[in-house]
Amino acid sequence: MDRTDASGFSFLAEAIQGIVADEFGETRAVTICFLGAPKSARSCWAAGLPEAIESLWRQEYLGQTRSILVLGMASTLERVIPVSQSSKDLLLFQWPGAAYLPYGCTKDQLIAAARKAIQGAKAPLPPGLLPTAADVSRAVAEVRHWLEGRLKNTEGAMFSFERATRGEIELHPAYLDSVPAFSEEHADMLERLWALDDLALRIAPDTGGLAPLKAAVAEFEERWRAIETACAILRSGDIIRSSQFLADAAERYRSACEALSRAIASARSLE
Amino acid sequence: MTTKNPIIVFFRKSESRAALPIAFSPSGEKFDPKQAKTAASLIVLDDESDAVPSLTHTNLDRDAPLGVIWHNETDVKRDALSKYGKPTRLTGFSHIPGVSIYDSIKRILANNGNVVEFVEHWKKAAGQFEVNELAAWIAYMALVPKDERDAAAYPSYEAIMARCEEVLRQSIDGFVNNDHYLEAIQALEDAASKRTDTGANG
Repeated sequence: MDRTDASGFSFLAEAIQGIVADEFGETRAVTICFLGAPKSARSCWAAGLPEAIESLWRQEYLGQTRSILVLGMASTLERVIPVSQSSKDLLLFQWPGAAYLPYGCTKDQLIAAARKAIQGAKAPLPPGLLPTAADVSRAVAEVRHWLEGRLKNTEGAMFSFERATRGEIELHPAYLDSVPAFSEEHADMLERLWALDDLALRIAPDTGGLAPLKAAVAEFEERWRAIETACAILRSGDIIRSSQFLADAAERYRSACEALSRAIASARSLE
Repeated sequence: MTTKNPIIVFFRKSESRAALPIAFSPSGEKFDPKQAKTAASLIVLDDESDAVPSLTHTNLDRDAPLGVIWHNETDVKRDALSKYGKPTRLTGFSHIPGVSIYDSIKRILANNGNVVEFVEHWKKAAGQFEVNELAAWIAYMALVPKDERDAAAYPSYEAIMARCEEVLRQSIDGFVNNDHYLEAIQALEDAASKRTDTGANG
């Protein structure tokens, strides 16, 4: 649990996981979904039914399907379902691994529902709940869009380093701050897409499904590490004005941009 | 729920005709959020910079949620915003024509959009998130023994309750104080559905 996420949802998720672990001796036996919660990049819970269903796909891909406990304000599931826009939401509750509980339920009610759902999660997911080509396309578009933003920012940094190399500007120290290749949110987004690997390969067997995109993203990650190394060297001493080091960093940014461009092209071919 | 804080949107400066950052008053008039000390209902910040500028709006409430509509959510931006409220993700959006938020912000920045309508919609969404968070805290209290309740639970519960209407507050508090959590949630659900029915602004 990331305690920096001090929302009621994170406290509740932790409490539920603790109760389930005490009762069934399994940690992470259930995925918890809170209807009406804002999306959070830092938490161990799903913010809505589509997100919960995506987590099921990922677990199935990893061979570790877990039951889902959905909590919401509505007193009954019937009050949730009519407002649902997606048929997958309906199918989720036809799968015995999913259960709905209203907020305010007692510990006994929670344990009873969890017991039933954990047992039910042994049943295969209904075919209609599985991802479709449209889901792959949407997930690819989401990643591609992030890659485009990342390319724009990386190009911006590259131009700044190039200008600094030529002595046109003095580089702001913020450029040397350590930035991971992927934020937690973006790593999560990539994981969601990689979980659709098998389906993507069936949709685009000639191009290798997600393989070219995965390779280009891995290449970007590797090149970003080279940038991080260069920035760490620049941070460590008063060589920020050294044109040789600045030119080297600019070149590393250029290399990362090339990997990003390849990743974007791969993504486009799958949409 | 009533939150004074403005809605924050991150938008690419390079795609905006207006200089960013820019703020809009509750009546929809533009002003510079770095200079003018006035109330803001909407503030559009540059997505292409991690540095959140110093904002001078007068309706700042550090203890209340700060609804954020993200293009590219980062820890750095979230942390920088935390001095203006508790950043709460309302939604994310893509910079692609046809995406409704993108189009709305484009129009607003080009003086063709309805700021008041946009803000009302997202304030309402923020209010609904907060009602749900209150429900989550009540559910937490229902499940955890009293002596194990984290010190954070009550302050958070009370902070959200303080923004509730008096009638609702009394009703929920009465149930919670008597350990009738399901009834407290029912009261919340009823209040939330009435707000939806009447289209009341959160």
